[in-house]
Amino acid sequence: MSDLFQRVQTAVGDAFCLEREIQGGGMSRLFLAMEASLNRQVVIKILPPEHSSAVSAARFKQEMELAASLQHPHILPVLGAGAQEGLLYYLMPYVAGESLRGRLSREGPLPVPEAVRFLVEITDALAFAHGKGVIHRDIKPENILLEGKHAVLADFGIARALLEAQNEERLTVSGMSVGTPGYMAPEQLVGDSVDARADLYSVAIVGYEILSGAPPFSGPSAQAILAAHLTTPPLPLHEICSEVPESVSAVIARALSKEPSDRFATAEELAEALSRSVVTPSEATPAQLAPGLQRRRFRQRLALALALLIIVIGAGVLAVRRGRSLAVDRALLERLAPMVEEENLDAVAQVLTEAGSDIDKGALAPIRSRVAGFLSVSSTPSGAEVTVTRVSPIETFGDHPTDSLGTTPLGPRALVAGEYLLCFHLSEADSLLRVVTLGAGDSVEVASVLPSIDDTRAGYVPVPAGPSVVGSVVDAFLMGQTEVSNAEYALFVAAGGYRNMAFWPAAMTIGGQTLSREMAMALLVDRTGLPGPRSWSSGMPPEGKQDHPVTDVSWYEAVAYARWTGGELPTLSQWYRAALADGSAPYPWGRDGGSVEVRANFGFAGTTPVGTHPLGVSPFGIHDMAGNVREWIADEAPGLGRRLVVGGSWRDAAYMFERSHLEGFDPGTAGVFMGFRVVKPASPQIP
Amino acid sequence: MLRYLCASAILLAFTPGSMVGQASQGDEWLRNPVDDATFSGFLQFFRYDSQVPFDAEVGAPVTVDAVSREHLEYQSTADVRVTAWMYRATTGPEAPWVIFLHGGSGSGKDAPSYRLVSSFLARAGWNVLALDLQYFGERRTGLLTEFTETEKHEHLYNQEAAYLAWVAQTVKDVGRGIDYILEERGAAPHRIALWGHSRGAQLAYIVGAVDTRFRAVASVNGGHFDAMETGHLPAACGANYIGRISPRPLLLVNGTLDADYIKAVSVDPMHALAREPVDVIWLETGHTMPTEETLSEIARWLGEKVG
Repeated sequence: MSDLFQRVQTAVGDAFCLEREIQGGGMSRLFLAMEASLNRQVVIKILPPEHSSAVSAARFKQEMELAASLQHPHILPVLGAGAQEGLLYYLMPYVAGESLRGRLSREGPLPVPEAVRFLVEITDALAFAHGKGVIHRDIKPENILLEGKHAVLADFGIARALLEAQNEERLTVSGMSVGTPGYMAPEQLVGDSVDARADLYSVAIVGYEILSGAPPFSGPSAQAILAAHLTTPPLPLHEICSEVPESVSAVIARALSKEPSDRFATAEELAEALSRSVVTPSEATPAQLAPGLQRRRFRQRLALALALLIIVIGAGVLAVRRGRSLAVDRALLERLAPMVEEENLDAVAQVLTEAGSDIDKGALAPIRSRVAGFLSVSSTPSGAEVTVTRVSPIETFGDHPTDSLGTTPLGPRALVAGEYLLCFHLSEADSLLRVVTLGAGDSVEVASVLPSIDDTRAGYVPVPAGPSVVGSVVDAFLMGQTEVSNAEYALFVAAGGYRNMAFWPAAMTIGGQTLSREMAMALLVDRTGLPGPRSWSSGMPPEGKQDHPVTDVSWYEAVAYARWTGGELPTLSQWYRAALADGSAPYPWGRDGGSVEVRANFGFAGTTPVGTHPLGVSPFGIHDMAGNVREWIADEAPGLGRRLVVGGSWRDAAYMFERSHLEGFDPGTAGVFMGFRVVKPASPQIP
Repeated sequence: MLRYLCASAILLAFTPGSMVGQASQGDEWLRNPVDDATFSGFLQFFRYDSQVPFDAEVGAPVTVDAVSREHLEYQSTADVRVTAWMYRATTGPEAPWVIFLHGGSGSGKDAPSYRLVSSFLARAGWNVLALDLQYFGERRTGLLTEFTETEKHEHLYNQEAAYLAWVAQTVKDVGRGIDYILEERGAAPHRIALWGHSRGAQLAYIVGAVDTRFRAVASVNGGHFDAMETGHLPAACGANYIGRISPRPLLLVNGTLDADYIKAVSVDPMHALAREPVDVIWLETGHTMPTEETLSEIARWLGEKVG
């Protein structure tokens, strides 16, 4: 639960039970809550804390009281408001439909009659509010909600409250705008005094967008768009969208006049003109066109004839392309809709892959909050290249494409909810894997401490200090990323590891008998009598198994190898810390008990090369903690002289991974299902 | 008197005995099993309607490593269907049958180790009916999802009423499986054996005692309770059944280092309750699947007893 979520819950008290955060953005954040006394869902809208500090509670309350007085069928009522916990919030009914933005993103341009009806309803609502002296100041598709077949205008008062704060110089321009630049009237943009006609300009922008599919002004930067609002006449709507009658186009054009005096004088006038424009689909009468607009249009056409021709051609090409893109997006959304309803996220992901699209794409915003989670990735050190592969459905994991996310640190990236395999690429040969599960609406931050490329530490993964499911908090350490392989062990054998007595105790207990080092080591030989694992021959591992974990080694041999590398065998606490982190999930990869055999080698068919079960990596990216071979650890089985082996093996059932199934063996035991890995001290910089 | 067979498993493996200090898991039935009259009463739990149609669905044969198997689904009781594999003996259709009860793996009969044991038996001349226990494998429900030891014990093994119901359903599922192979697959009566591993071995004490159609019973890596069990109702406690498998032969295979079914407190007391004819194989290992050598030894034992 996020800190803000908790603060909001505290602020609204027990009367409301917060359920979840819903899509917000811009000035505010939205939370869905249940009002206990009336058993109804409400939306709690929060001014972001950084903004709340700039707005006085008194001013906010005043504006909300004014907004609450607006009772109109096309105005979303304010149910309540408050200032608690440093938060400014207000409540409004939950509208089960979508915003006009959502509709627009999902379907593109609206049919003319429907679009005009929405515009009339919004303008009617504005006429009512203006009559009460309330100017909205932030009309945009996001603030227009569609409830059934009708439009409802939300968010009265917020912009005004913020504006007051701005006037009192408690707000700076950084990160804060009062209104939304793409929909603001020229006089509002330049900070002139604003009256009701500014809202009419915004309505016209909205009208232009929902009729054509795009706002009248676009450009490579926000500044270019703002400049266009101030200086550039919009292309006539009916010229870029043939379905729009010239009568409607003329009304929108007049409402988009740069000069407030050239627009309709009141919202009632605009509503009336809009209504008439579809009733009589003919050229707008001269009376509907302001005189100044006619003169200016003539001069502009005369002076800019050539340029306009080029622009029109270019715009036409762009419009065709955009139209095609919108059609493709619309088809994609239609295809995805039943999968979203069924919450079949694997199917959603597959369709997006097939379409070469991804859920981050703007046109998919209508479904994003229902199907996507947000992933942020960081690493120490930063700058690691990260790729991501969707895991689910796990049966087809091998066929799933791998995408590059970029280099760390990576900000929130929307991914279709599900399980993912992340790969931090360290070098051409090395990588660190992480398995991450994203729920719909979740924001997950993955932070990895990456292995060092220092020679003495290569192949070891930092495990930060923290709790272990066995024992108490464990200090930071480095854990072998994989079980020790035959190839690695062969280096030890070739380097005379069995001859260097510094690695071996003076006496060893084998088969319940204490033997001198010389006697014991006479037993630690391969099939040909040479020093080495029992299954080797002539000092060499079995053919083709160089990259398999070394097996058939006693605990003493495991310890000797670890010492040779400058490390030691892990303790039980270290081992489970590396395997399960804090133990919040029962398996290294999480809670999925139905895919054990895919994620780990419990296959009863012999060892597999180390590190070949990527979906079974531990929370720190360590391989084969479950399965492949049981691993010798440092701990002695209490009171019996035996040593523990952990993790389960290829010859075990998966439950042998669990700590409930720890088994102790005579330290001289060497089995085909037993190997080991090594730990080393952590470098100081590891947390 | 128990007859001990050879024991060998791991090179340089020696000392038997339990690993960690576990509290004794004895209960009154381990010390004093129920009498005949009480046992007769228990049998009421396991009765089923043999007239329920099998409504069997048999999949197309699948051949893996020269062993053919068919997927089977049949109606056990009125509202319960059983999923299973039928492994066909490579020696021909006249081969004897063995019913295989898996251990506590979430994958049930489809855990790799159990598939391989079943295939091994098929190659050794046995038809094998390997079924999913209720809540496992294809029969999984919301009761168990993680299949961790903690979950299994909290939700099933240590829930007295639920465990008894599960045991009873297992006996019925197996009984109906025998009915099916007798009626639909031409299995020869008196040529049917039972093999249980781990949890399946624990269940085999009960199934083998209740259903007297088994010619022989093999229990591998079983015991009275595992290390996390706290107690059962008497009708679900293997201690009240193991002695009643006699006079049919019983094979007990266990690991001296098994930390799940601990020799001193869980296995030895159960062995002591077994009645002749009983054979015991002690392996110097833990709770792991037997090696191929041991599997061969078990298969030979079954062959001797069932023929």
